[in-house]
Amino acid sequence: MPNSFTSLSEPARKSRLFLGLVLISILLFVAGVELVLRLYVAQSDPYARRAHLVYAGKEANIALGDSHVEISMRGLKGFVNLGLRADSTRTMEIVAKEYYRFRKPGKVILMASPQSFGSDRISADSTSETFFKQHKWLPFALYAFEPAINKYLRGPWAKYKVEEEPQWALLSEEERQKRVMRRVDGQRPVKGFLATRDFLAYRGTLEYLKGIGAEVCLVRTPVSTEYLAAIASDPAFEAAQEQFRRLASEFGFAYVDFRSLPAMGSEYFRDHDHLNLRGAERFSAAVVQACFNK
Amino acid sequence: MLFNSFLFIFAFLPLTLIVFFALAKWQRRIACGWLFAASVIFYAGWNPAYIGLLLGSIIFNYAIGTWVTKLGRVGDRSIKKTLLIAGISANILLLAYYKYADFFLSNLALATGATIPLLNVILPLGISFFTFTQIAFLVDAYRGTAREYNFVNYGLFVTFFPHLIAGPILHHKEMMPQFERKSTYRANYANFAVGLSIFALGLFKKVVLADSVAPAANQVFSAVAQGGAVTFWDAWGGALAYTVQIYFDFSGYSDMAIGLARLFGINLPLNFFSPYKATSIIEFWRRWHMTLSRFLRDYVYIPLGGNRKGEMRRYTNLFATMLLGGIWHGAGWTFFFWGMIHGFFLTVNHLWRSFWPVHPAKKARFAWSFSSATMTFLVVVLAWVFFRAESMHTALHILRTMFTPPLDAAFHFSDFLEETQRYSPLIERKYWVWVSMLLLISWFAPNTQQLLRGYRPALDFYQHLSDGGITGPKWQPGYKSAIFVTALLVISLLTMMTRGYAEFIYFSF
Repeated sequence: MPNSFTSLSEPARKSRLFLGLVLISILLFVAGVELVLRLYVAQSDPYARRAHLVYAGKEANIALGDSHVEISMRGLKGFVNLGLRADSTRTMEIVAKEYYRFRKPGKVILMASPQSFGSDRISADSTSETFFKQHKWLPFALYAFEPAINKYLRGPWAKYKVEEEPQWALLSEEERQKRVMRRVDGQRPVKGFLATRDFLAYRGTLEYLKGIGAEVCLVRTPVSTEYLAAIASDPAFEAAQEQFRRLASEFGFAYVDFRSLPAMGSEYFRDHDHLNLRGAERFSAAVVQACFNK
Repeated sequence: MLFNSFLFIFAFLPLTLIVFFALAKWQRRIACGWLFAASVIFYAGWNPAYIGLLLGSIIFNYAIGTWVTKLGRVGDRSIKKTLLIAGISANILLLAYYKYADFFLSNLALATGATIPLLNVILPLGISFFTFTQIAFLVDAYRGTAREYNFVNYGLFVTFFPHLIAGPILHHKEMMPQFERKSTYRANYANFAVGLSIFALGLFKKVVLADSVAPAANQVFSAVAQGGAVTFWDAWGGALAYTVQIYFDFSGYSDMAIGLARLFGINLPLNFFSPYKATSIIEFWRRWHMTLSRFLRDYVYIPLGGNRKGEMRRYTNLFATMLLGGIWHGAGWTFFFWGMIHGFFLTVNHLWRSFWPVHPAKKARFAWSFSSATMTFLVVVLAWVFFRAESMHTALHILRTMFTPPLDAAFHFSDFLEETQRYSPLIERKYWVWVSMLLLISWFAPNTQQLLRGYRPALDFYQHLSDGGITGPKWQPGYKSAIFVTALLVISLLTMMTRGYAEFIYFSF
């Protein structure tokens, strides 16, 4: 029996060789990209990491929110921390639905803090978050093709900086006041936030989580004493907080205010409204206890 | 579904190809049916709701075409003509409703001052292309040059996915013999290698080259559309950026279409042949969107009388044909003006040739070609401003700025190079570098067909060889070309991953 390769004409043999080389190289390239994304990018870039957790998280329990959850709940055990800086409530809704699309629901810690209705969040675009599992024709998420992860491929060439964590307590009183005032201004809930798509999304998340039978706890996340003092007489913050309490009661979910937990002094903060690692571990343990182990 | 998407490249294309050749071993008709079905699925990837429209249009035109063909044998000319007119009218009405209804209503409202609600019709993808392809079929059936009695064959001719969305606009007679040919249904390594290489070149042109300069053009045109002012340099930068963007976008698309068809053993006609190397507007239209030019010539210009009814009528026909070509691209005054500019300069070009049929002496030939090519290019760039602008106001503002150079006697071009950002605040230096590089490629580099010239890269390729470019690098399957094609694909895929992918400009027509 003739060998099918050697029986080909010269141009056909060259074409076959050409095709073999190109196709194998492309498959190797895609496989290589997949490896880099999984082993490096998804572990180091925060955005890619969150998408990776949505695809590959092992736990049934999750925590949702912005940097208040991402940073101030770094010590959560038995939960997948899906918090990410500047997440809007619309993004939280998408992430919750994507996470539980193929998983059995468990416990959910959902951030209930007023900055979710601040002007920057309300105007934020969340289109990139709708990229989750865009290639539904694949039975699994191939990271090389998923825009939620592959667009961060640029990351490995720019070194991720590991910086020493700042400490709020080391700043002068005056500096802390100045920073808090700027922060509070940027995070003040907008007028009429009840009619915004963000509030509707928050409500939608609660409806969804109740519908799938998740055990939900709404958590007001910690802010520094200076921050708390600055918003004490601000009706916008109080109105937003009141809505979170009302929603928790309406849906029959637990509500935990950080103020009801062991006090967090300046030494536990990295800045005006984020806990340092020590504070995060302390707060995480306390919040799980308060939410689910009453 | 986009040619430049992962879904297409890694799922749709390999699956369609493998199943096609597997079925072809068994039964050619079924393989044809599969390709027809796959093409409809490809179309559904954009909006499944419009499959009915596509199939309805195919059934209608097939019925009329078959009827006309059958009558041809009997010889009843008046019924044939009535059927042809009815068929063409129905196609034009369909196109008019989906493409021009809102444009007409908004202009009517503007003219009368009345409040007329718009229909807000979504333009079905590729409607201009599949309508024109089928009008050509009806005319050919009437003339007796196209006969089709098999619905699947006809459906495949219209929907064959490499050309469905943005052309080339095909003739029935150039495609059907290929679908009938036995060799089309045999997997052929040379076809795969050639097809893959042309596809890779097209993908690279679109994803890496065209999309890289798009932000510069968008920046300038959006700024003006939003009421902002741009500098003289920004205006030129934006116009030139769009000039190279559309060049590599459409060139990339045309290559990908030709490459994809070749994977199935089908040769599509040439649609793009280094148009910026043209030394006249007449030549430009023989190199840019060649199958549209061919359609307009065969089915509009010649039926209008062409050059058979005197010089005056010839130029009127030419101008009217280009106007139609302009509004074929889109319902808007900007496209109308774009067509008008090309119609005007084509007329001027023909007049010039008839009055001064110059054949420069050998010594002066280079200077002559250089100045002709420069003038042609400038006209094309100015016309693109209308083509790209969202409104007449934007187009006129940019053009006015392009013709208002800053009067600074102390200015030297080196100032611009040193302080680019000061002179063109909207266009970063890197975009100037991109635009310059792409212009050089479009003027001096061999095109895809010239590179692949040993393998009949397009149906009518050898007719275009008189344009030169026979020398230079030549693609051959082997290690070197495999490395080259792999590099193109890897860079394109990496760019798609990190930057995402954009639609082809011609998809909106």
